[in-house]
Amino acid sequence: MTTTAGNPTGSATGTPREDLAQLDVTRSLRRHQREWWAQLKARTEDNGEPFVLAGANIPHEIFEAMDIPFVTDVWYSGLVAAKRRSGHYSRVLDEHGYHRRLDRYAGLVLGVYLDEDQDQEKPWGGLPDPALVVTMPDHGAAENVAARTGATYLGLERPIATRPVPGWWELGRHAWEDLEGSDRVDALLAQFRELVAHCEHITGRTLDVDRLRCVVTLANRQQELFTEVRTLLSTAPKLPVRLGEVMSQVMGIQWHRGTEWAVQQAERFRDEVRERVEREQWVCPHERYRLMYLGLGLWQQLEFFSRFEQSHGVVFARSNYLSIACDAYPRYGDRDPLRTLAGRYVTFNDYLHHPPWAGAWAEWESRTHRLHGAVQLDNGGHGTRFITAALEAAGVPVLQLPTDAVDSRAWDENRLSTLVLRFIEQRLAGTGT
Amino acid sequence: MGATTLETRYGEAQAWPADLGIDASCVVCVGTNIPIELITASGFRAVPLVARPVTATPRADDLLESGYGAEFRSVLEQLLCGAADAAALVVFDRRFRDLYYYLKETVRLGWTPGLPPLHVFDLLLTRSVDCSAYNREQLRLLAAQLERSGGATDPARLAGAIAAANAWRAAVRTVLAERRRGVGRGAAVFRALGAARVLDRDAHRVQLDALRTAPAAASPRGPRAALFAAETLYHDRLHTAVESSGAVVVDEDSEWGSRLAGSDVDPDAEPAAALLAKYWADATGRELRPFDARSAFLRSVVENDALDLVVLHVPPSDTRFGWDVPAMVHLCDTARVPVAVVRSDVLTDDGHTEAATTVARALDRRTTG
Repeated sequence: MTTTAGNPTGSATGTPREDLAQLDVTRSLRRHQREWWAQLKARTEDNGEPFVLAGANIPHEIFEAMDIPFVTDVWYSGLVAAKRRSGHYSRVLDEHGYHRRLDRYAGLVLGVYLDEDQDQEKPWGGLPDPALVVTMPDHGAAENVAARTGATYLGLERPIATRPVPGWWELGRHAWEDLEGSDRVDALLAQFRELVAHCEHITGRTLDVDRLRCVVTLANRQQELFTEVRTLLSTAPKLPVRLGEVMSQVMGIQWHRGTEWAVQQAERFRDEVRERVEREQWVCPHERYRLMYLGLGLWQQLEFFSRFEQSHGVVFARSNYLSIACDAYPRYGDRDPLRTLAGRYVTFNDYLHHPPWAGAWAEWESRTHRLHGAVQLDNGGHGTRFITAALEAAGVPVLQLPTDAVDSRAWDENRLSTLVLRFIEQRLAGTGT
Repeated sequence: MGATTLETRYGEAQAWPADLGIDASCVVCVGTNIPIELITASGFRAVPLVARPVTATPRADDLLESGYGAEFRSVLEQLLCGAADAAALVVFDRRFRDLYYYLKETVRLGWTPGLPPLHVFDLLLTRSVDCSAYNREQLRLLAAQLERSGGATDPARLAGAIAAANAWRAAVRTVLAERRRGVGRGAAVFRALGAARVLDRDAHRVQLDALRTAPAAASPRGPRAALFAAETLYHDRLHTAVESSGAVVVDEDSEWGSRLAGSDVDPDAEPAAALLAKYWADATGRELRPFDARSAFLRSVVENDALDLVVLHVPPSDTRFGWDVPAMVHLCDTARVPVAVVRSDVLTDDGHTEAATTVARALDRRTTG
């Protein structure tokens, strides 16, 4: 997501290894993001180029191919959380009549637009006013951003999947048309064409399909490199990189997928992880328990994942972010790249959250990563009960972590640490290495 | 007579535990955006399975996360308790897709061996793109599923089902129009309409006609209110809270109230296209995009109903409707219609009292201000 999202060396509390330096790619990602952001602000605010605010599960490749400046709403929410400003912008939402139970994960972006603070006081100077806001599924806040700023709003609808295939991750890369059903792909493709039409309208440019094909190819190459990283993390004797750093790196690259920079950065990431494995540089040399984190990124507290290394030999070895990049992003077949993208997104959210896809996937990943347990964000999100059931049935104990991914008002350090410690002592004892 | 019968039947629709009188001749419908005409033309009785105002849903609570409200819990509880087990088929509309996913999984895991086949009718509602090919395929898939479940239809039967449904819709629209003119107390009319959950449409139409021809009770007097709620109004608790404060409900944005009938299915058009056009155009709920589509009914009532108050119900369980509330308040402010935002759970006694107090205060402000 963002390199500013927490301190990947985890120095805030706890006593993680002092001698395991930050990855070089963490610093290079931060540099790139600063440069990219400066360019984006210059193009949109100085030159007046149209800007797109997009949800996470949107084919950003279209914007890359058309050279349209864009930002992913949840990336910016993560930035707000990492800057410890989520409480402030949540209060702004409260003051404007948006009650507290509404999802803050992407909603913080609306709070930033509503805030009457000067832009320089907002994270990275605030967001430009968009010409187009597009989301799928609608989380509620984005349409309000469009109304506030006068942008066009486009809310896309995913057709429902009716042929659940638990082993989807083995089929989707090449056989996505069979897996997803042509009628469903057609329906989403029609909406992607509408998105392209909007992009062409706001820019006055036409989508070059050959350029889009190149962008999709680059995006696929990036996910292949991520897959090599996942293999390194899952098969190495011990964990070589902390989860917070992996998540920041993966999403920091993911929001720039389809660019040469993203592929090069993913290569450097892969190489650095491989080097650590070859040199046997481990996060926690006395590693005993390997855990999975499930749910939305804990961008406000990435250090939390390294809190229990020294005291209990606990490492977090897997999250959805790297694994979804490996299993749901790559889609091959470039005759019609827009259709390929529709094939990627038509069931994307269900793979992460709904039965049977999400539980079967988590259970498979727990085996390949040699995990002893899982910690799942419990923020009311859909599908978590079935994921828990699938893991518990496979002998993987699951702890529900009752907090919010980004809203600092829901964070109770002592309570959450106590829950994890009790989980380690009561449910993991005796299962570790 | 009609009113009494309809009140009794509404009471049955609210009772717990649910007894839907289901057998193999029934297709259970979860959600209202399902072409009932196709089901009845196939020889089945279409039985809506609607939430009931209960506070304990232990089986559903085991499966549903905290982000789901009372309506979904109640519907799932009924299904997990076997309310639809004897049916030929259960059909879900798009709004209830999560319950479809969850129940499919319980079947796969062997937890609910009694459930009949489950089907989802996935009508895409997008207003920006023509998805009619996909929606037409959904209609074909539903017809095929009905056939697999033992149904059979033909053009004549479908035309007959469409005509019967349109006749029922006309009766509903007449009752709604009369309520807007001040005939009948809002909550009582709402309950009369809601009896459609346990009566088949022909019987319901006859009862509604009887209601209209019965000697009129004294027309209610009081400020005219319209209700908009986070969840489908599957109960009359918000109505009774509002009317206990002296207001009269003349409209509610609910598929079991003012949105029950919608427009007719065009009897002269090709049936599949006509069915899709009707259900696409009359779709309600938070999933409609953009806001202009969701708020069309609100705009209509504030412009045409001579309203004294709009009540927005945002219960503590809401995770979605709240995103629209500031814009809805703004829309009402622009039209100079006062708004009361009720934030309590009206299914509880305390919440019901709090709602009545909130509405009464809003009416007082209107009077004094």
